[in-house]
Amino acid sequence: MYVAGIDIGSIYSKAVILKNNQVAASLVKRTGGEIRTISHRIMDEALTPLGIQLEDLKSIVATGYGRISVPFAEKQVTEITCFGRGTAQLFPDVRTVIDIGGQDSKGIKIDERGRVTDFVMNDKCAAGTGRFLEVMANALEVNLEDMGPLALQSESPEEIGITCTVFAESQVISLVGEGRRKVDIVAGIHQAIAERIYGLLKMLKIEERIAITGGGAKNIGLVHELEKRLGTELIVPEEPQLIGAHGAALMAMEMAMHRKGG
Amino acid sequence: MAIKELLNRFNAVVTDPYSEARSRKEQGQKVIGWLPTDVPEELIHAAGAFPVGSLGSCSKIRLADTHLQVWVCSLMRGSLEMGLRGDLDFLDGLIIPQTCDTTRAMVGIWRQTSLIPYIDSFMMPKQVKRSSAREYLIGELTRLKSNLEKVTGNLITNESLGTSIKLFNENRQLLRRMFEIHADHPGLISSREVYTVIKAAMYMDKVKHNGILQDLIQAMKQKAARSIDKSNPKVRLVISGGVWEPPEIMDLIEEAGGVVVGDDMLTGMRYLSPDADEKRDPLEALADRQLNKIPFAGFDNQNYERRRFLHNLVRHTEAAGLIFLHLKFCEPENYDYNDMREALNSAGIPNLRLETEVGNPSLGQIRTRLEAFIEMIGGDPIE
Repeated sequence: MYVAGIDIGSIYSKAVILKNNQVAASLVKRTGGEIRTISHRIMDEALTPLGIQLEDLKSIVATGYGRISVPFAEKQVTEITCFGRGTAQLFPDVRTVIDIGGQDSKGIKIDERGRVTDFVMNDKCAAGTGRFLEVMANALEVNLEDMGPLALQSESPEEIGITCTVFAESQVISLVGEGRRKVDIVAGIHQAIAERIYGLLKMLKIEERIAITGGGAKNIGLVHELEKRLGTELIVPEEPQLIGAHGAALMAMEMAMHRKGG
Repeated sequence: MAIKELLNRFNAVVTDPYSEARSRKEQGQKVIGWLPTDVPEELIHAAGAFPVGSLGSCSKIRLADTHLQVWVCSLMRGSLEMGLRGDLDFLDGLIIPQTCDTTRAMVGIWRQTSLIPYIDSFMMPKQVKRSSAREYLIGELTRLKSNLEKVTGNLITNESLGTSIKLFNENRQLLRRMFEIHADHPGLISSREVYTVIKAAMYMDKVKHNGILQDLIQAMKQKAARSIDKSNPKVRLVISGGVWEPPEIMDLIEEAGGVVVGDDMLTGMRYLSPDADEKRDPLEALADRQLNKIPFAGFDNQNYERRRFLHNLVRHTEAAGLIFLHLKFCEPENYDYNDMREALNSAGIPNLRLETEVGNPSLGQIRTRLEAFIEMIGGDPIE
């Protein structure tokens, strides 16, 4: 039995196809453009290698900020619930999930079954999110993927005091103008984001173990800064961006089973 | 009349809130506006004037920014924008209650920028449980009364004030009755509709409002008696804060699977309770009504009464959780939040804080939070 989870994020869209609880296929693609189109395209691309079609899926759950615009989804579930489920499946001893997405960062508390017991989410502003990193990488003309490793090279990070994306960008540009070292600026940016996320997390009663998911988890510099503040090692899934889609697929599987049983 | 038609009449008022006030003005009646919250409308009514609320539901701010710093809440900003735009020029007076630093400072700005001839502040005791509070408040009400008499040219007698109190008590009783039926039978009408009826009371003639409301209550009772299926799958929620704005927030709550069965909002329960004692001296009765209102962040009582109040409200309404609707930059609410959250957490009551702005319906992230919260407290979303 095949089911799917689809996670339409603000920057990336993700899909996970499960066959009897095992991941049969998965895909990450830039969102861009119309969500209806991208959701069809991503499913086609994920399903083609399996030799099956949308109609062959017993259930599809959509999550992510674009979840309401996925025309073929049977149910929409928030990414908060899905990241909880997905993480618990892979790491049953995790109690706190830090999710750093393109538009949001979140702290999610879960129980042993992956059910959400509390959560916090950033406000409208983009500070402390993937978008912030992207804007800074652009301002510094550094590839996004190189930001994390660069940050680790710095011995004296610059102070980036302001965590508003717009102000921070102009601060970064003036630091560049003053001839400061790029690695130090990059390290400063990572500290600023980590501070912001840590401040958010402190609103929860953080319990170990702690996992980090979403695109932000792929940034080693950010993971490192967060680990310093939390005083513990973070669990980084092999494919951190896929956890939400995986959680959605697990819920799709439960729905399909529930129907079969009842 | 069918429920839908009755609700449409309230809805029409909220969509065009000042048409009644304007027509009163054209007929030669004085019209006195008020900003939230707690202005004693009965005094305005007893002076022969028409009281009308101004809830700042204004989305495009262009003029107010010249006079206000960024940290002024959208409720006060929206009201001033309407004033500057001339939307409220028909008013003969405006009473601004002092409930926080912003409302205190707003009075001066209004006086300097507005064409409204009479602008007054209503200074309520901050420490409502202090023994001197009552005496002080009676004095303040007396001052307001005599100013209103000057503006309208009408004397406010014990008799006229008593009559007004009776009319406004009746309105509050009917609104509470409607709310009870809703809380007992959620889904008869939507949460947004319930609160729209309350909001309409702030713009309408109370006699007219009472009349339609009586019909609505009748219609709701009949519908409740007819419906066989008593079960409601919606998650029962209490909301806490200032105003339920933007109104779309109520739709989001219902779309996410929730229903509002209790609140402590300025445009909700705080407006409906308690009644003023009809047997007492009317000014004393108004003072007691003010001092006995449900707890509010703008007034301090050193016994942390609001923590217990919210806890009891959730228990009493059998709600599964509480949602704080806090206006961005609402200092009193924001400073109190930690205490409230701690109290609810230690009582095991799930709670969520949403930051809202009057006139800003961009609610994407709020939707995610609301849905996640209801997924969390509503049990397994699959089953």
